[in-house]
Amino acid sequence: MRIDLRAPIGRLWWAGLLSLGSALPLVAQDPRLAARLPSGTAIEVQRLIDLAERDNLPTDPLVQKALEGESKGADSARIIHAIEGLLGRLRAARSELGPEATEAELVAAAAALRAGALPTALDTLRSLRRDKPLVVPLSVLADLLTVGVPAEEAWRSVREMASTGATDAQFLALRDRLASAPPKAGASNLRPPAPERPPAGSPPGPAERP
Amino acid sequence: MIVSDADLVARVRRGDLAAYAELVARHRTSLERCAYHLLGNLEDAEDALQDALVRAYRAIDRCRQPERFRGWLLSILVNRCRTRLARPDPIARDLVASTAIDHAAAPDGTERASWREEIERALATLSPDQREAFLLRHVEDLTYEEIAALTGASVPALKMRVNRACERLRHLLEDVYRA
Amino acid sequence: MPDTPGQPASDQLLEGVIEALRDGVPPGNRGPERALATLAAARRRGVQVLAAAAVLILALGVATLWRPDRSRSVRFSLNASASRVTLVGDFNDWNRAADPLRRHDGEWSVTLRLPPGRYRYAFLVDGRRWMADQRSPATEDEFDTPTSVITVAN
Repeated sequence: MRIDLRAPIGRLWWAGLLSLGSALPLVAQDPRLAARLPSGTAIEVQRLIDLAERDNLPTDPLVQKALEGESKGADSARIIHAIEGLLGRLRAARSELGPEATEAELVAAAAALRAGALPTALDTLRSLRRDKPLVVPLSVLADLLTVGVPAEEAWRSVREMASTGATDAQFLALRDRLASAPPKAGASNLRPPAPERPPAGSPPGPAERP
Repeated sequence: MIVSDADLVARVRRGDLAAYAELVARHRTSLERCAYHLLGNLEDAEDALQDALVRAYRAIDRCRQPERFRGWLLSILVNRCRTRLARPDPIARDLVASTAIDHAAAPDGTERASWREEIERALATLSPDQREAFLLRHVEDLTYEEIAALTGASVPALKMRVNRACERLRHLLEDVYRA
Repeated sequence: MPDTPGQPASDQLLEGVIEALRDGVPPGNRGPERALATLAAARRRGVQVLAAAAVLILALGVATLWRPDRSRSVRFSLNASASRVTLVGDFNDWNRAADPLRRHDGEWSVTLRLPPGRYRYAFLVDGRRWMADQRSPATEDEFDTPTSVITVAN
């Protein structure tokens, strides 16, 4: 049997399988989870994945987080905690970037949020780059914040570059330049842990953070 | 928790299709590469790989050394590729130019794509036996003993084929490489 | 290294050929998905089996079925004294055995094709020690192990 999944009929066949799968939640557990996690953990992770699916969020990043935890020998509580945090960030990213955002964009946005970017920074970038993918700018922002480039400098650089229609290669070059530069006098190279949620009424981007 | 190939094979024998999917995912890079280089085009490689994987699943009880599942699977795939190559009306080779390496850290992408095209052309000029022995030995990293077990050829014969393949590739690619 | 008699032990031309052949496979081979679909259909005795197959195929192949042709080759390398190194990350289900590195002139390396995106990963040395990639940015890690991140451009 040869099924061309690119053809309309192939897609229908595929969609039929998926709908059957979703109709049977007990059977529809991701086999990777069942194969690698203790059953109790797998069930809890699947519950979070079902929530993500309901909210139109990508689920594979959550599966990867679970598998990463398993591979690194983390216990169940830690794995669940990590997935819950990621789910919250993906939800915030979706809220800012909208329904058209791709999985890769949401993953990069979640990383930027984790590193300390404020949700509204995502919206600013989206409006500056309407027709271009945001994966690289967001990922570069996350990298800069993670390695300790002062938030103001990181955000200003990324925002300015986005406003000039820079290419992905230019963003990556910016990251390499800033990330390898020694910290400026008086600038802290250590950042406090990123809050899971920004305080209400926070300014729009990391540039404005104190 | 690392599940070995042998454990997964045991689960497949009990009818666990998910375990088979895990085995396939584990080895698909090697399988895709082997089929593509043996047949020279993606369409044939896809058909051969599908055929081999279905046959392997149905013959899983005959996998005598489950810990060497990859070699066993490769042997089935190689046989499927041979069958396709032996068709009376061989399919014209479509020497697909690989996409250039253009990761940000690799600025010489264009040159590398051209180099790959030359390699594909040179590989296509080898006899099927030589190409198969060379790929299994040096690209898939099997030992001569493993290749002998899966192809039925003797170790000395295989060494001869690999040596001839190396000589021919050197001869055909020397000028391009120097350039 | 090719073991052709009469040739120098370090044959750079053939090393280059082998490296290119290991890396140079175009994406888009859906043979595995088609095979699993065939097997699942053959076992179609009940709806539950079929549903499981759908999820199974989804898990294995969703990245491949719609894998864009924008995938890029990415070379990962590490200088480390070790007997075995594997690359483990978001791109291989954090499978500790899926992508072993090969040693050449003291350097371990492997090349993968990845679609555009941001990927977390680490090296696993001798099956027990996690190492970050010094050539890529480090990233946060909820599990207290060194982890790197790579961004593949569009």
